[in-house]
Amino acid sequence: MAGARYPANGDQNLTTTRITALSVTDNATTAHRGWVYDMYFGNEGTPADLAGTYLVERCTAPGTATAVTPGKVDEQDRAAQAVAGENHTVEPTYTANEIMLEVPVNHRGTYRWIAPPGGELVIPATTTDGFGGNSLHASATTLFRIGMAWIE
Amino acid sequence: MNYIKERSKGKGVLLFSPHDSDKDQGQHTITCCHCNHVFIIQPGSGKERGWCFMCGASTCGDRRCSPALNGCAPFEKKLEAYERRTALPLEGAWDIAKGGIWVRTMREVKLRA
Repeated sequence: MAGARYPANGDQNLTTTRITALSVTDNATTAHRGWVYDMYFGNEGTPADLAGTYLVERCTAPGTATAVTPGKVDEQDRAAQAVAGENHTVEPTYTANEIMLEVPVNHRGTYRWIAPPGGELVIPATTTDGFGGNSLHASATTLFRIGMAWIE
Repeated sequence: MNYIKERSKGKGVLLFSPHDSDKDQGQHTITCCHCNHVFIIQPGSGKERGWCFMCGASTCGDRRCSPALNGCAPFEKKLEAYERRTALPLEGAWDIAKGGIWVRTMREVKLRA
């Protein structure tokens, strides 16, 4: 698939309620499609031998977050049009029943999902729409990290 | 198994790097051609998935995605309907993608306008 490739990653402390580490959404003015083809999930620091579930869900608004500047795989490409955010203080507006990927993880492991060609998660060409990655845990408060790479 | 090589056969890969081993483990994933959801293939799980002969690809097994129950509704059509704002939210695009329930969907759009 032709297009420019961009990676972004974000982290967040686990809490007992579901909280978002990274959102990747269309910007508020320019609608364009995006194809998420690679994601990774893991915990930072010294996580205990615990398990949790990481979700990637569709959202229609990115919420309030610390901005992340997406990198460029090819330095000759323009800056990403999609916007990324981490460490959310206000959760993205998630669409009901649109959990795109559900990964049960051990906090001490690292997980990576790679899409097959044509099987990428598609961000619709609608402003502020996109995906958010989140998790929760009953007791752990360690930092967890989610990374996404996409084509636009 | 060479999971990366398998990607050319339409399967995604979920790789797991355990902290207590130097060997990666992997599972195949498939992206539903009707709803774009990704599911992990678990042989022996008893979960029923589907196949759309129109798309020539797997479906996730959700009733909404069943070609037998709802016909072929490719994700691309669903996405286009959503982007045209003829269906809100994204789930509503099913009616348009299926074709034939336009009236109900358009009425909903007018009500929302």
